[in-house]
Amino acid sequence: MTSKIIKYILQIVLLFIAVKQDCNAQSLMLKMKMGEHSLSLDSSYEVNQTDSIQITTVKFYLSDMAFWNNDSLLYAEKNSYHLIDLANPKSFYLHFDLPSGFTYNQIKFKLGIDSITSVSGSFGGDLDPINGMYWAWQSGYINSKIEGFYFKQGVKKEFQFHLGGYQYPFNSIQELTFKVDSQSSVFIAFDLLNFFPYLDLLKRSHLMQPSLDAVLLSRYLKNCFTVK
Amino acid sequence: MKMKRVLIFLLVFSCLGFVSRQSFNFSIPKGWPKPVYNFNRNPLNEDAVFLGRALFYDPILSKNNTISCASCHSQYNAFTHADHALSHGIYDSIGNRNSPTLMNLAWHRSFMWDGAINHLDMQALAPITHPKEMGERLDSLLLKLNRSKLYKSMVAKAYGDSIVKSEYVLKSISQFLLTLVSANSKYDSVMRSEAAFTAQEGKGYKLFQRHCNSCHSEPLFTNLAFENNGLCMDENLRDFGRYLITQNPTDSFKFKVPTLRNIEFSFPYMHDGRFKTISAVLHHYASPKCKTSSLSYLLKEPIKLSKEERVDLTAFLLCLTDKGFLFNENYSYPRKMFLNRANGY
Repeated sequence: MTSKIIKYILQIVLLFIAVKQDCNAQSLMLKMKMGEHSLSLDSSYEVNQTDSIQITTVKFYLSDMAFWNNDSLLYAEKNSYHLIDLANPKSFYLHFDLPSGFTYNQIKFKLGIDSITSVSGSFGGDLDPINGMYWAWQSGYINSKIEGFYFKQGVKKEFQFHLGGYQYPFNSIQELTFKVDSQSSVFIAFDLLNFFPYLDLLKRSHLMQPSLDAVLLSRYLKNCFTVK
Repeated sequence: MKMKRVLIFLLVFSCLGFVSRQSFNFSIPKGWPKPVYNFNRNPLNEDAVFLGRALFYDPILSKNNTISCASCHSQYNAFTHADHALSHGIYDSIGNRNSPTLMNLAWHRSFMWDGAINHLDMQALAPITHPKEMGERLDSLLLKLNRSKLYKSMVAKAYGDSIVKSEYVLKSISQFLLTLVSANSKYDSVMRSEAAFTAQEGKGYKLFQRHCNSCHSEPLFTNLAFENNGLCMDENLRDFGRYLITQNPTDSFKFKVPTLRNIEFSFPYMHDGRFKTISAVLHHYASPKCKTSSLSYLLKEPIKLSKEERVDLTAFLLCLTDKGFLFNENYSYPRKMFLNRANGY
């Protein structure tokens, strides 16, 4: 009888051991930039000799992080939703527990939240609507928020871009793929300066609903990313 | 041997203790389609249903603690707003639309007259944060709820967490709303062969099937689609309906087809509550005034009924009244709970 009990306990303990695998901690770090400068809140950045930009909000979702070796998927993070917030430097560090003993040479991720998640109801954590990245009046995540002020020859103008939309023809999620050489320290660089050359901030300074323009601006925002 | 059984029982029971609470039995009425709502992501349990019910009736959801969900969704009106064409919210603000009825929501794919909301869990966010409805911020609401002993203990019971989070709030409100099932009208009894229509109701049912059933399809009495039924746009409201969401011109003036269940008590009718009576609605369908290009093809020919036929059809529509739903105590104001709070619990 006693031996049977011990056997049961052993089986349960073994089950727990079997589940725990060897893992290899991998970190990715976001470097937030504005051209040559590091991007920080409320600093002013010169765009040209007369104009400058001040940033008050930069928030965006990176999702579906996946590590590849050429054409084969090595690791896809589960429940992979990361809200990057310029006001919260902790959010620049992404940690993954990769299975040990493989080498990847590509990382893929998405800028924004996919359509299935968008129609699946309430979530917590980074997807909690309390983060201010959800449209209450028309369901859907705000994939990215860029806000600030534009100074054109001394005239101050506020801009607010809330980019989102998951339904055709306004699906604004962007897929990104990058080749990676070294695995020791991988940086995802986000250079916001690449967002502005296409925009005429005096003509259009607000965008807050799914639209073709939001899709276009999301593509511009995609151009801000590089991986080193 | 006996000890082994006891051990297995204890092991299973202790595991269940972490995940399973008193589950709520959601039964699908006979002959109804499968619900759209994914219960696996939010399995009903008695404690969460009750938490949702408390939140539904509690004006704490609004910025100045004056407006609750029930302010515009009262049970005896099939959870719509009694006698108000346009619903009014915080600071006496008047909204743009008539508040919809709340029933059989587990079968709905989208919410609001224009389908702006894609999931029941996210629905409550819209009225809570709308400046003309409850005017509250989600973070302020959570602060208030986390200061309440009552809600903290209810969340602990329902979710085993010491903090009130938005996910619990939203999912609990869904849980309560999902329990609002109306499937026990005279019509349902007739379908189950437990009762029979009178001759007049029977004639009305035939007329209903011929003229109304394509959009107000049985058994939900809505096809859940968006249709333009030929109403002229109110010049003050300038409500373009579904077009506001899709920005597709073919969706102009389309609104979600409402259920006809409990229609006797859900007046006034239409997205802007312009008709006070069933008779006014039937009068409209006899000659829709604004036949724009997005008009439902089912209404290309107006629904011309004789005076006698209108009476028969109305007699049938009254068979959709479900008193067991309208007066179900499980759906009503949780008096005892709020009384306990008033007494300092």
